[in-house]
Amino acid sequence: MSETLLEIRGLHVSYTVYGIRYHVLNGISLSVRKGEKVGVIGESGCGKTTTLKSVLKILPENARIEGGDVLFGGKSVLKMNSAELRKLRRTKVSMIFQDPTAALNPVFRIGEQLFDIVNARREEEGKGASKKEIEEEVNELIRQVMLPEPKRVLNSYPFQLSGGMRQRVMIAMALASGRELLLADEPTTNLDVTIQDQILRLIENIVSERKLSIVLVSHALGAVRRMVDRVYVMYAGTIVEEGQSNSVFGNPKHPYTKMLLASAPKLTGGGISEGIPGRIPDYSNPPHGCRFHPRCPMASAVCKFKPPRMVEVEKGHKVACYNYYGEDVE
Amino acid sequence: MSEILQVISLTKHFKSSVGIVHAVDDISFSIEEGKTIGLVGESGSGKSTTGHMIAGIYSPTRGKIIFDGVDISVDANKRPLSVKKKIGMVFQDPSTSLNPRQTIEDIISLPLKVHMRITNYAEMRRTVRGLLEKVQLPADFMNRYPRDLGGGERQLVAIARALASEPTLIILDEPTSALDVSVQAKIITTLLKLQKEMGLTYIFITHDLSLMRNVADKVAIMYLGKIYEMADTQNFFEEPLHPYTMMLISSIPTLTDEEEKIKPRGIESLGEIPSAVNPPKGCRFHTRCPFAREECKTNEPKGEKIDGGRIVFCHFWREIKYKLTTNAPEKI
Repeated sequence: MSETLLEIRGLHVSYTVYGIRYHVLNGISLSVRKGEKVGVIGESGCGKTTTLKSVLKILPENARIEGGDVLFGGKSVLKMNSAELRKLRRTKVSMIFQDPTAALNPVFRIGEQLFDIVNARREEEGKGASKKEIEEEVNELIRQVMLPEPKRVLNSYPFQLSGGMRQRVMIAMALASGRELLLADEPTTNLDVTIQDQILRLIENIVSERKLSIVLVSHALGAVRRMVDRVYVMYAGTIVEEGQSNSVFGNPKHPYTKMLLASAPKLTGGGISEGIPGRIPDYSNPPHGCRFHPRCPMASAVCKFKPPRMVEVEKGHKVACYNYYGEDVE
Repeated sequence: MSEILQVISLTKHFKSSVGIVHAVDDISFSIEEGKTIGLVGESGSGKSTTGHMIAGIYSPTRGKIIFDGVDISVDANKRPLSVKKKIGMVFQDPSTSLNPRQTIEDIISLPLKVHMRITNYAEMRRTVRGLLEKVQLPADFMNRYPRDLGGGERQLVAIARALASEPTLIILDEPTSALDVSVQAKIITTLLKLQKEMGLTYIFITHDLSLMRNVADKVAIMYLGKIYEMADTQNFFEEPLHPYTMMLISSIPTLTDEEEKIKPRGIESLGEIPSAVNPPKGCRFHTRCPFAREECKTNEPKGEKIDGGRIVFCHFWREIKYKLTTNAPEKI
């Protein structure tokens, strides 16, 4: 088994809005090995993006890390000084954001933005390069993400490109600085299905070609199933289930995962389930015990008192639910 | 069953600074009472414009909309109240389609005043409560504002408002695409229940084919302002005929191996939808079609009717189907 690249240990994060503290991440633990493709699924507001942002330490001002740690290559990201953080962001880890329109700078041409990123990485690596060398690398990146008419794209401003093209540019940028780990936050949510298919294929190819690790976060369940080796299911700031992708999607254990997967319409028909009653909890006063218990059809008295710990029910397939206590593999 | 709506050669062109936008071009379809038709397509396919013309938001450039046997296509601004009342609409984003400064009661009571002529306050409240009950929302939501509600609950309010004038036809324009799947499931089950109880007819505009597999009786695929294939839902998914339909279905990420099995093979998604200002000549899909030939670039395909009320617009669908099913290595 290859070594662990990223490890998040019991991370707690809260946000303060108008003086009220919202306890969002409630002890998230997650790990990514070198070359591994990991997915995180869950619905809006469950803390997926907050988890990713804490890896790069780019949480907004009103966020506070209350506990836990994020380790990259065995080193705590949370304790890094600004020079170390800069090195991490410029050379090792990069993020593909959901909305490329918001993530690209509207007043610089694509070529200029890519040039700066490549230049910054090379400086950080101590490999100063001539303008020509950098431009060559930029052209190579554009070629890799298979953008048609590369010359025109490099000379364009973001608004002159379509949504799919902008997302390809985002991927090129991520590749320019992320040589070890890509964090993809809903990379295809705003795209049409045929474009989504092309972008997912592109990410798949590049990740395997460059032997990158990737964390793909999405509420598009099918897209995650297609892309990853291992998947985490998040609900209201907690990990409720984790395991091999085919095991979790094929044989979900946690009541939340089961209901979530049953809610998704199938291409083979068979009707639609009733969904999940209720809504996600108020983070300023989250439920005690298991955070899913107010919506859970299988909840019992114990669920209200203490959060369940993760138990391994099949090899590598863990679930945080009292209904599986006593089913440990070991 | 009788046809409640017929659309004949409907066309909408918009003037813009860069030229004429061919949003919808010469499409025809019809729906039977109590059924659901899915208008499916990617952004820019003209599916919403079609819905808006039927709802009376835009006047068509050409073509006819026949509703309940009456031609209502003339001028959308002059559409009589008696027709407007019978056609409801639910928009994609309930946070912009509900007035943030009005209570839920105000929102739902406006169509009751305009269409149902309810003036008595007690009766009004009773009716609003009844409508909220229909969409399974608690009656105390009446005094709340849209911001107090979750996304799914807001969309249920929008549905209650659409029901207020007792319509027979409701146009649902991507009603669940801004919502999470567990919430979507709730909205869809409510819509299906209402349809059964009240005999409603739905035009369901969406980009989500998996959803249509479970909701629609009939599906029409739109691309750049044209309908390219239309069929009963089961046929449509089990045996897609148009290469664009195949490309769409094969692009859908799935959750089970069974779904993976029914996807068409041998076709891969490529390219992007061109501009509707200067749509490609001939078959508009030819720029992305892996099977396109010279003829496709010049001649517009005519609709070919096939058994079971199917219609497909493609010069070479038979050969393409043969090629894909037999896996013949040679080109068609």
